[in-house]
Amino acid sequence: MNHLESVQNFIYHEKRIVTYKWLSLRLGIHTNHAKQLLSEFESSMSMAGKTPHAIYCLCGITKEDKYAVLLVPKEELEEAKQKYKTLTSTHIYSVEECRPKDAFALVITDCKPKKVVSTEPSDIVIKDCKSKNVVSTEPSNIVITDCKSENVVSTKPSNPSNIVITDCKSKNVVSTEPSNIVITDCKSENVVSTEPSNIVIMDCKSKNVVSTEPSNMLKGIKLFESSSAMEIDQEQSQSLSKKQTRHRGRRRVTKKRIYQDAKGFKVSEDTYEWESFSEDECDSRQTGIDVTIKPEGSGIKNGINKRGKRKGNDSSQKSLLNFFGKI
Amino acid sequence: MPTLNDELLIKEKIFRQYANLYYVRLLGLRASVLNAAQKKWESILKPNTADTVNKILDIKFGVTCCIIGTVYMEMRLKPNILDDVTKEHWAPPSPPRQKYCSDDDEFFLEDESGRIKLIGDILKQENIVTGVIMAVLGKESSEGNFEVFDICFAGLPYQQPMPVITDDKYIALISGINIGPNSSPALQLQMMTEFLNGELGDSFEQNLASKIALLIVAGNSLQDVKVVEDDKKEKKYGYDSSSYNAQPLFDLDNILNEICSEVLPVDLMPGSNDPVNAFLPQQPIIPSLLPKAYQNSTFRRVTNPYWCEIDGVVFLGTSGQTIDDIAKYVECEDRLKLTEQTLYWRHVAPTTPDTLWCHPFRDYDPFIMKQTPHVYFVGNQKEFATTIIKGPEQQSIRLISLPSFSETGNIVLVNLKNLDCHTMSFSSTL
Repeated sequence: MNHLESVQNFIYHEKRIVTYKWLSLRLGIHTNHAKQLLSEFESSMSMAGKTPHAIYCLCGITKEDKYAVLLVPKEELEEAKQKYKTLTSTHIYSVEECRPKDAFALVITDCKPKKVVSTEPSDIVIKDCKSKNVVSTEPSNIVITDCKSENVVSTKPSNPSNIVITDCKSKNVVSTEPSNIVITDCKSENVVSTEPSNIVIMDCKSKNVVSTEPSNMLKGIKLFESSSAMEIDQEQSQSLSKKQTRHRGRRRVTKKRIYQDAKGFKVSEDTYEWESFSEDECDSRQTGIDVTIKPEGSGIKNGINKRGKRKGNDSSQKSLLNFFGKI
Repeated sequence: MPTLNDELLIKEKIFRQYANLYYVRLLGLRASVLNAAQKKWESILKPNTADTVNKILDIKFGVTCCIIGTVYMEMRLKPNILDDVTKEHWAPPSPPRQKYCSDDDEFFLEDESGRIKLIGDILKQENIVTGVIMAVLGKESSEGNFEVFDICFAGLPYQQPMPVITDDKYIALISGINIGPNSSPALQLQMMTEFLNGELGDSFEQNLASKIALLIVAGNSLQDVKVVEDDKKEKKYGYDSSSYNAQPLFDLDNILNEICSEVLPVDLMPGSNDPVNAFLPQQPIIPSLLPKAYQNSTFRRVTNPYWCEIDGVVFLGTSGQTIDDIAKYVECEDRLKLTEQTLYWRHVAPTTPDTLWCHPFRDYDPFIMKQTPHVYFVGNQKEFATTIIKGPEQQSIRLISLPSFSETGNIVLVNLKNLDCHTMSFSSTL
């Protein structure tokens, strides 16, 4: 089976110590299955002649009436079992090529949990995932919220209906044929490709590359009330642009205030105030055009003054001759 | 327990003298001690033969009476700041003593008006430490000392009735994880987190782990940092920031995050080694030190000492500094007995502020026990010990002395249904 071969790979080629926990994280299977897998592997290998080393976990009540969990290497298994009055469980903890030299070797340090959801669920909700998410195959609704790392949603679904990715702090790659994609509040790269019918990208603070044939695309740069972002009908083709025509937001401006204080002095002070403003929507395109949205930051560059030597007759600096008026 | 924990949070950072703390402690406990004394010495304290004297200064010579005040022990071996100041500069500092008590300790009883020296054999037999509010029955002797016939403490306060819980529900207690800079968390710690996550073991263990409702970490999650003098390095004046190792804190954060985000609420109490204020009550560890764990709503940072109520069962816990300090004053080595004694004294940490550092409270003493807990645990002790104490008014308290996890690999599970308690040890033969 696939899994048994990968276990063999890990142990003999990558020379790893494969604990059941590491295996379950790596293959995305339940820890109980991982334990079964390891024991199947171990027995099949020992029948085939190669004997990998194994470490077992014994749990139960010892002869001193204390509940103890003990890890023992295979050689000491029978001897350790004698110490127990009642054994409540015995299972394989890890399998490796040869005996690890100390206990520290069994500590998992290098595997971040990778949530891999595969095959045909009807609704997938992945919340608060702190590592890689790979969602593949034919789901009908995918909601990935609050993900702090890579999301790769790639499918060849026949008719997936909605993908909503909110509050994602890292790379999102959504590809193939979803019908609705809403990416909100994304703080990093978004790459949405292939034939989506509706895409709404809100509040994206960084690079967005949306390519290939979107039917409707709506990009909101400013802050946006998230409640309205979620309402996307499946049947909509052209009318998306009519919704959400205004972007409302608040921005901080400097205002100068001049007043007379108690002593009769005129005091002018600069204060920062929040004021709300609204803008009409920008960037709604129609079908059939390859669209590339420029990164938002590009607009700032125009405003930066080029440093360099100022020439004598820079128009902002008044020439001495102006004092004498036009001659 | 919001109201009790609220008193332990320090709101103002003003430093002032400690006299107020002793005064409010006396005020807070005097009424209960008086009640207890009157009950105990009913036969003696009749209006005509003996009296409860309001002030120590009012004691009449030769009359048997009862006085209430704060105990002060004059101990020769107690570290004294004056000795530190007056000694020679080049003499090496003496190592901290294990015990302050000696045969020539003197006892004084003090209240707002004055103090009087106590003499009597009973004082040595009972466990008494500085700062305890006590009632003393005796009479003044010719030298101006007070001869003690009997002593009395406030006794166990009121206890809420134990709620009826039908299913097994466990609280896991652990202390002294002691994550250090040398290695990432050891295998024992990994096994423990796997067990709490329900990954380790077969159906029995997974069933047991599923019944655990809360994990309380009772202090010393990080190892004590010892600065090693390295002669090869250039002497830097002040603090050498390159010697700081952030790895232990990072590891602790990862482990707490793993437990909190998957499964279990965790209450983290600070201990003597942790990066919080050294004086009692220790404040909750600041959230920016444990950023990942802090994201979880199941993670709670709490004070030391810590009162909490889980399903109607009241828990009181400390990270061990209080009992360790009390043990220096008395000959007795049985920590569980000393813990029991604090219940009778009705005070969690009577040796504050004398030898145990403490914040100078002005209006209230947060260490006074206003009610009896159902479970009282003390962390970072040498070994696991537990017992049940019964009080005169049907109070029943489970006392637990938690061993250090890094040394013994033990955690303690308390069943809320019947207050049964047992350990679980994690080890390996590798």
